[in-house]
Amino acid sequence: MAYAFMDGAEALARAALLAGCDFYAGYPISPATKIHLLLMDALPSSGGIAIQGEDEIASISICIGAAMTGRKALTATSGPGISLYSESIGLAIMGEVPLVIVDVQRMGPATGGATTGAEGDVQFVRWPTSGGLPMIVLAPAGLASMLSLTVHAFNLSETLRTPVILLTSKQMVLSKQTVATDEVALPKIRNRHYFSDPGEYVPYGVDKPSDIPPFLPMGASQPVRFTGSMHDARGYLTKDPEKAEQKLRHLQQKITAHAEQIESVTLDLQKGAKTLLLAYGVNAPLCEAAVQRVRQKGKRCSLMIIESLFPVPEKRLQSALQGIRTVIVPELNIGLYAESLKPLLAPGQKLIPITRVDGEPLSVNAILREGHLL
Amino acid sequence: MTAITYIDPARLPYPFCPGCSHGTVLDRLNEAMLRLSLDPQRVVMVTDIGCVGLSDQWFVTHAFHGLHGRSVLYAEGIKLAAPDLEVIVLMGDGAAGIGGHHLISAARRNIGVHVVLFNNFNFGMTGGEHSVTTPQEARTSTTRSGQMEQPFRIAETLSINGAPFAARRAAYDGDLVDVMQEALAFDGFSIIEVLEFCPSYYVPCNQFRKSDMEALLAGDVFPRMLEVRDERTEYATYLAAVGTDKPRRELLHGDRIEKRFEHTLSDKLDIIVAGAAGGKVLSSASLFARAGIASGLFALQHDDYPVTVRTGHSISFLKLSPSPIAQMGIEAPGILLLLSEEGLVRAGTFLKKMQQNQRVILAGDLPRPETAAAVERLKLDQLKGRMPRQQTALGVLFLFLKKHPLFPLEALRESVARAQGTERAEKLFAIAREASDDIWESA
Repeated sequence: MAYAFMDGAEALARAALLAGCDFYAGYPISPATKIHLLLMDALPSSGGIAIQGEDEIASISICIGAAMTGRKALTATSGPGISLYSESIGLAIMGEVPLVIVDVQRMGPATGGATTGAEGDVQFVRWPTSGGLPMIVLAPAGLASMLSLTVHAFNLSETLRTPVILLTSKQMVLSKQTVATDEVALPKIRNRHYFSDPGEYVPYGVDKPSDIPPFLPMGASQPVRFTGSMHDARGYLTKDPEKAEQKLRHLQQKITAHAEQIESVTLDLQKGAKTLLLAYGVNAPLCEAAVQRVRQKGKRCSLMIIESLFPVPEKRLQSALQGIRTVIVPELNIGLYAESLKPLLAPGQKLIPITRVDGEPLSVNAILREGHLL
Repeated sequence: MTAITYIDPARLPYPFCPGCSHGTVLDRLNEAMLRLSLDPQRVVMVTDIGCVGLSDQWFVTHAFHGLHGRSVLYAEGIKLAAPDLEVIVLMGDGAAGIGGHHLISAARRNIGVHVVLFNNFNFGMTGGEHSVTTPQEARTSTTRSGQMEQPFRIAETLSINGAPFAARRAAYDGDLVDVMQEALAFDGFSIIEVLEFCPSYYVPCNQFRKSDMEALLAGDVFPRMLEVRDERTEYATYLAAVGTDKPRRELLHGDRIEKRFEHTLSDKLDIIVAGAAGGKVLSSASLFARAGIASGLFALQHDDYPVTVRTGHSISFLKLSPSPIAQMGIEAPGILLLLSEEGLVRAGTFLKKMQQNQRVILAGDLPRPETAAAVERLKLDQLKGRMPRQQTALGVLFLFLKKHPLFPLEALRESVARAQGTERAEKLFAIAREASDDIWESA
């Protein structure tokens, strides 16, 4: 058995390469800079391209152009940068661009704390742009999860032709940890579906709303039309209400209809437990330890770790919530993900958010204490 | 494949207002492309927002229509990813405002994309508002008493900032197609700024006639120009050629730690190593952690240092445990190694929280801090001349490990040898092994 001692940035960059990432553009920003440096170093070889943009808008836009030639592109940033990415995320949604966007959260808003940890972007990345369409957001729950979820992010962005946000945080990206790399089961690598019919290529043509339009790169033997404006199946601008509705329902349903493919949760339910500890991101390992302590004391407690934050894994949540009286959600923000859980709670089910916003991590003891778990 | 025309005849006429120059310029571009016999399947027309942003829909080539002012960026991405494509950007003066910085950066890089900039001095699509190129004193719907701002001289600015091919012409100029042909054939970034008539807003607001256009072209601000300096390497070609495989290989396979030693820890242990920037604190702590992992421990390390380099504190927070580690933060460490004044100042908060069963180790002659913890001093002056300052952090960790054998000294020797060579590893190993107990004193 071999181990690695690596931080989240190395895990992410390594997994990106394994997933076939061959294009990176980014702009230096703490705490995402380590990913920037690693990929700027590692990609310009074996056919990979890496470039530092003049700003964040440039970086993500360059990635979008590259992705439409068939590249597997990734860009990484932090709070101020994800704010600037906003308009381009909309373009990637509308144009159906496979793209992985990493947000290494730091204390915000604005410049906030450049080297201070936080998880305050959770609801921002759920609706990161105008237009109101669902977004896939994955949050690694540890270093092994960082490895596998990065591959999952590429797989989803490729197969669903959509931007995927990989939401992590300073603590995870800059802390080195032991990981048994051989034991991490990476998902099988999946690529976008290329158009190969003998007929005419219709760039945004789908049979039913939840279908994914097949891909041809810029430079293919048939003309490829890409656009961020409202368009018909051929990629020409349209104001036709019927076509506009078709397009927007498609953009909605291609995410919602693939909820099971997107979903990534770990359930550790205990029979008879009335308490559910629900965790994501940097608090997930703490909650695992907390549940262990609770059970050692002879008490019952269930645990749910959510890696696919959005779309909210509603079915799995509903089953986890069966028979539960109290749901405890530790977060390094003002209680943001808890907001998304409220609509799923039955009358009488109590929600206890445990929040910390001073830049320091939560502790197992704090979770046990504030969650009244012992 | 060559084309008879790059404009889709089924879609003509163009959608522009009567008298607009856009159609003329597109026809000239079509002629230039025909002269060069470009394969339409190897051409991407990139546009963004504004009237000219509609243009890509009239071409039979590939088309990319994006956000306002960002077209040159998509073009750069396409060109970098597929350097053999011809990438042509059609953008307006509005886009040159919101995306001016992108244009300058593309010129500075010399990425081989070809920009045709349709400059009609105002926002024609939204209602004739002033743009960054509106001439001084000109009237627009937002400069009723005349424009005060000085116009952005796009072609000159890009030329000064590295564009090896920068030109300005009027839409009606007879040699526009020649200049376009030259620009499209150019191996590097090119920009042609084309001055145009906007018959719906700028022309009627300013009674702007051809004679006025000629006056502008004869002046200092918007002169006809053609600056070509063909001496720079095209960026996409350059980028495709640089780099070695080494960093990629290291990232993919570099770090494999095999368990070869046994540890003695029965419970988790938090260690803080607090020193000064430039003292190799972080890398030394990391090598210590790796030695722990090679002895069957789990490790977690995070570091703290100011944003400046080679000044101030440098601290590693290290957690070692026989079982997986969930907790990131450290409240009070089991061991606090103080290597310098800077570290002492920054670690002060921990000293107050530490208890009798915890231990502070002072390197050299640091003042004894006030704390409930046990304090030991490592008399480094005994090693004068033997341990260079740069290696103090690592050396102290060797000495610490000898006194408190959490795992074998050999594990650390191996970890250091792998990262920094056997010479240093053997030297520090020997120092630690030979050091007598009286190098330690209770403080």
